Amino acid sequence: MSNIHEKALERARLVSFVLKRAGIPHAIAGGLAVNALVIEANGGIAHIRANVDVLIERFDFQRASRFLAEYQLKLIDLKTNRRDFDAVRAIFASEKFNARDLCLNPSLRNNTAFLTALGYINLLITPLLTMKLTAFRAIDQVHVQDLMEANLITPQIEEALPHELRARLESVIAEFANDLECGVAQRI
Amino acid sequence: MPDPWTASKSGIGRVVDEYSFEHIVERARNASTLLRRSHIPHAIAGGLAVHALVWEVNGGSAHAKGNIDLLLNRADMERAQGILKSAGKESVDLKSVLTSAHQTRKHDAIRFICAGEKLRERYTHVTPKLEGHFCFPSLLGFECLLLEPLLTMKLTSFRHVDIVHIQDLLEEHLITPKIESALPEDLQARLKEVKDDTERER
Repeated sequence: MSNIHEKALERARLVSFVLKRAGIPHAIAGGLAVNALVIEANGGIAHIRANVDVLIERFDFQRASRFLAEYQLKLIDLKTNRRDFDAVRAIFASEKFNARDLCLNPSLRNNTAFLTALGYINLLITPLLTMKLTAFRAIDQVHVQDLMEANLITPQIEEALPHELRARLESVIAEFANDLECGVAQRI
Repeated sequence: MPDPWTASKSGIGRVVDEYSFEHIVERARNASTLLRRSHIPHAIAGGLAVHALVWEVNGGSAHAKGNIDLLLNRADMERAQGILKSAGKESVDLKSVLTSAHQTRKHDAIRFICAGEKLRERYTHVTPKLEGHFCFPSLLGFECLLLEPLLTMKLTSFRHVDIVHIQDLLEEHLITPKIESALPEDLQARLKEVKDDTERER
């Protein structure tokens, strides 16, 4: 049976539970965060796989690792290892993931997260969208389309984006519209 | 309001179940079983097929969503539609209304793709033909399109989601030099583009 996605959800729930109990600020990011928002909007599911990405402060990394290890969860720095899908992958708040990135990762100090109905603390849409448009790999663009398809990207959210990211969003919207124009079958 | 930390299957759990990937796999399995019993040649394509291939290799997962894309011959479409529709009335597992891919945006609908046709006019290649050995019974329980025709489809449509799926296949080393060299020249060039981009992303 292929219940790998359900396992990822369970793992995200456990990670969030452990970190919350330890008093460590965090937010689930990446595909699972997109998925939580899409499900809450009743828009189906997003393109996810099994990895759990969590946004934390760098200075909490060691402490978070210790707490998670008690539950047999291995925390790694995503930047140093993108291939270990069994591990929980840490992304550091308020830092650039890559030096060339246009924006910093979101801060965890400004109400950037909320407790989802799926049972984990999740990034809000604006910081999540900012991360996705900053990274802007093929998978990030697919996730932006998932958010669009669930009608989650409002004009207000769009306007709040930095100029460069708005241009990127425009390009995703253009491709999305192109798909629609040529037939709904091609929609993601 | 239930505490989400202890949310059970009765609250949000029900919503999650409805959209759960396992539920989608089960619907694909049921659809495939019904068509197989009726001797209708078919194969699951799209992200679910990519997932099935990755799953067979190491129990991993691809970036799959809830879509069920079903490749079948145009001549069989009406009959298949009827079979699935009637089963849908009887079964809770196959509750989605079967519609043509060109008519639906519903995320829970099974989407037909006609074999041996161009999905879009601008495409340079037709969808795979359902002749010879085109599919295999996947461990997930449905007839799954073989890697070579699936890769051809993905490289032909070449949207962001297709690129992500090709990356999923590359990551599992499923695309061998032999498979690569069997691709048409234009698709080989696209595959190289994906490989280069993936390398840059790292």
